[in-house]
Amino acid sequence: MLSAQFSTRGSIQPSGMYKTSDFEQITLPFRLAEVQCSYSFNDFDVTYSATLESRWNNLENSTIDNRELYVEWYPHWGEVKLGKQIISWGVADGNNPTDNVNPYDYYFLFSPGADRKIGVWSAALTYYWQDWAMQTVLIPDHNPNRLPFGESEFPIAPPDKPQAFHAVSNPLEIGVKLSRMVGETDLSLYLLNGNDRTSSISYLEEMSDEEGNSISVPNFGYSKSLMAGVDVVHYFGKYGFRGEAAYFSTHNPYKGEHYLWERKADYLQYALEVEIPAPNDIHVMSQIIGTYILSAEGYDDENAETIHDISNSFRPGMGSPFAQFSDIALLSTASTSLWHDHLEADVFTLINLEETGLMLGGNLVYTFMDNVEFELGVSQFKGDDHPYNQFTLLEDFSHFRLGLKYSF
Amino acid sequence: MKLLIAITYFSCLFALEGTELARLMDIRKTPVDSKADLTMVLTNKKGKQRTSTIRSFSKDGGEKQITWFLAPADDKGVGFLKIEHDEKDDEMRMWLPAFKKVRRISAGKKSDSFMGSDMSYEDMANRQLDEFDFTITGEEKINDVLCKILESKPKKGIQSEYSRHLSWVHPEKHITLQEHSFDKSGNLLKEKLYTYTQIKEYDILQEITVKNVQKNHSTKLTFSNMELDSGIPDSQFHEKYLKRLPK
Repeated sequence: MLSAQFSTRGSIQPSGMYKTSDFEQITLPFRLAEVQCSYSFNDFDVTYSATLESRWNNLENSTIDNRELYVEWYPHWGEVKLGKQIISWGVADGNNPTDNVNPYDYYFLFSPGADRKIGVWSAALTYYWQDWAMQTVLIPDHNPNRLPFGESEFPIAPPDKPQAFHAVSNPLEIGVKLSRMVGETDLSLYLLNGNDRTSSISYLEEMSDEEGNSISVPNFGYSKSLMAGVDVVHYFGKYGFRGEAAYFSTHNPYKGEHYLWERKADYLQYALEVEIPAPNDIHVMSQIIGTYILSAEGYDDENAETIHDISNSFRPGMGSPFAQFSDIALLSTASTSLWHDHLEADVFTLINLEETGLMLGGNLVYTFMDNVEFELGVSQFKGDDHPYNQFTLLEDFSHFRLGLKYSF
Repeated sequence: MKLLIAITYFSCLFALEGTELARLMDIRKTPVDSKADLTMVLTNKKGKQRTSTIRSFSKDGGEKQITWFLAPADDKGVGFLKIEHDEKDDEMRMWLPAFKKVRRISAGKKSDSFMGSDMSYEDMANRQLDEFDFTITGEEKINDVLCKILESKPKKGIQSEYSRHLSWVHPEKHITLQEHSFDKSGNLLKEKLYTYTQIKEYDILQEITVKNVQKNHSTKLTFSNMELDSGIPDSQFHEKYLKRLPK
């Protein structure tokens, strides 16, 4: 067990997205290749992973994204991990209100698992004792979500990157996760003291335009947020239950001489999921995802003079990214493997339970030779006549995906 | 009436013999722990094959087991941990590198396929003596060995994908050479063949072939690079080691 070992794995995966309406290619970035290298010696691992991010209309300007670089030590009592890394919290599938250690990359929002997250420089220590596990995470610098500013092909993208950002005054973030198995139930508690991942207006700066008129320029920043969460996994025979909830308390921390854009809010996010057995190795999952604003007050665009209830316009800066689309939604998936694992198939629906909105989709992944897969996927959005309905905005983004993946 | 008494008497006798044989199989000398590389070949009805390579550590007769997928490339790094409990449901967890999460799996879904193979999680678990009724139903030669045919039926209330198993058991070594497993409707579902090799004083599985006769699929599992009684600590069977491929 004391020898060293070097291993690599990765893939090359050219893929394309095309609108279902007119088959026009969507030229948003995709990951053309990814690689992970690990070197293990004694109780230590060193891991590096990177992706090559490309656009079909601009392949020559492809960029390498160094997603992770960390050292991991495995003492007998636990794990210590230092470096740029992705840490996943939460037990629900896909939508995790508690999963806030890493920011999200909105360009890859519909990618599975850790692919949609951004690695951050951090230190994580996990201590195991009997049925208990405690993980402490320290993040020295603030890392925001990557948003597709100005992307005309991404219909719900923010129009332009704000000109004025102010730095986070106290970037140090601390997170703690405490887990234990209670009987046949897995239970975890979470605490994260950090900063929002998505920006909001912090203050207005009084300036003069070229003609000497006084104008207010909004400065953006990141609210201070405290998250307290819980998750639970329990199986009732063949029926599985995964529940996750997080309470957030957020406020604009900026204290300056400019016109402060007051804002504070408390909100709750949750994901309640059941796994339902079905014949022929079909896995069915149904999940309710929701955000509930407990209180929100401050200024907003319509009334920037007095502090008042802004529950209707408040948007969370932390938590599951799907909170941006809907306050309450029902996600259902069914997946199976066919032809002796050569074909993986899944279908899903996301129904907005608050207003008219629907996302329908499916994926087929066919392994036609060793380590080579062909993927066909489709996502269809349906809204209503309301122009600000997120699903209406997404209708034109309905698309199908074609891809090849060679793994090594 | 005498005939009925005689039938009942012999039924009880065979049941006792069956239970005794199952007990002998359960207590036969096995290594405390083992390490092995496994090659799993899945073959569909058209003859198309998919090969996986797995590293496996097990202890206490397979009650504790941790495995890592080494190949194919897209499965590399997936880890599986199983710990059987007497008093509560077994504990099963998977490490999914793409999600960077350890996911708990339902122990109630024993009939689910293990990584697309013809083996279910139930096939990989030990059969508990107090959960089955055992009866010897006859004798038949397998590879020139006159084996006892042991029928195992899950007791009422025990979750199983099967209605019964017929196992061809070596009369002296108390190892299963062949097994037929029947679905809930009583139809033959799987045929299993077992090959052993002698290492130290143990009869160690070298190859398992499972054929799902209803789907016409088969899985062949071959063991190599075996290390026995190497002193694997209990602490090795922990989720933190799922994330780390063994050397």
